[in-house]
Amino acid sequence: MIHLDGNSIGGLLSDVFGRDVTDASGRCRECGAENFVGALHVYRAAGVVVRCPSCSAVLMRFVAARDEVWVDLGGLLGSGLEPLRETRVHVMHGGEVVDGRAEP
Amino acid sequence: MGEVTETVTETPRVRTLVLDVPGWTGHRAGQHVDVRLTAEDGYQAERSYSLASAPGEPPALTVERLDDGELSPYLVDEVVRGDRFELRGPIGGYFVWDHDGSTEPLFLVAGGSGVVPLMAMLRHRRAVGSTVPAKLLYSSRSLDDVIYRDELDRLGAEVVQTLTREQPPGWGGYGRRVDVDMLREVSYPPDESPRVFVCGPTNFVEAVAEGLVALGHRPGRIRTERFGGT
Repeated sequence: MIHLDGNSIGGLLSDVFGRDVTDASGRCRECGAENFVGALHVYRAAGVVVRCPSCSAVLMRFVAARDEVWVDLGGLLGSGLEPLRETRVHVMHGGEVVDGRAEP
Repeated sequence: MGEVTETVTETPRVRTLVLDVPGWTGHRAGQHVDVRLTAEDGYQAERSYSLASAPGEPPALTVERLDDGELSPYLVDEVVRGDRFELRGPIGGYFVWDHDGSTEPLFLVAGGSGVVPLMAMLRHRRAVGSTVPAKLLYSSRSLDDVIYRDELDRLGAEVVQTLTREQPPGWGGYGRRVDVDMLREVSYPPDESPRVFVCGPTNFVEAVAEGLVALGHRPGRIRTERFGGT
């Protein structure tokens, strides 16, 4: 399956984070590689899966439906990226929706 | 919402739409917008298109028709002046080149309509009178597919073209797909620390990026924008 770059989902990312984050960097929880968000590998199907360019681990997942979006940033370390605290943004950890973002 | 103020036919498959977008605050060279069209039954489709114009100019999208595309046939063949559609942007802070006083040469590699965001960079460079050395390596299928053909000579940058499928008699450029030998001949050497931007279909971008790394360019200096699908 072919992939795109993180910059291709800049619009979706600014919906979630409230600003452009394609030039922010994040670290892969699996292999430790640090990359710009714009350089991450993006796979689009029913949802959007963002993988590490170095080891292919899943870093972020997004599912958008109507005007709401579900977000899982579980594969990313130390990015400093914080989703907006808005009702249309739902944060998941390992498949569990934890609205309000209490870290499990 | 953006309103189409002008259309420019670039090739039989490619058209530029110049837009008026109320509240547009300007863009950076290399950024894109997301265009969203809504059908009468409420079905929505959204795609990203690169901005072709230099910062400071009205936003212009150059769109290539994909025969199985959901949006591009409409944007290339049907939209007329005065039509309006929903768009979001400008988007992206990664695949951008700003005139920021740095003197590092600019090496741009385009496959097909991947030339669009790179054209915004070259137009920006020309508009601000930048003296940064710049080179574009541009791969198209045939001469008829070359986008911005007349403008390429007037950019004040070195433009090297390759035509992969069909070359006219007397063609002076390359006549094959971009490969490592071509990149070695055309690119600035790694020790000149060029800033490299590569845009095109996924397999094109992969081949170019791998070739440049094999020639000693640091992966961190190479920024890519792949496009694929519909």
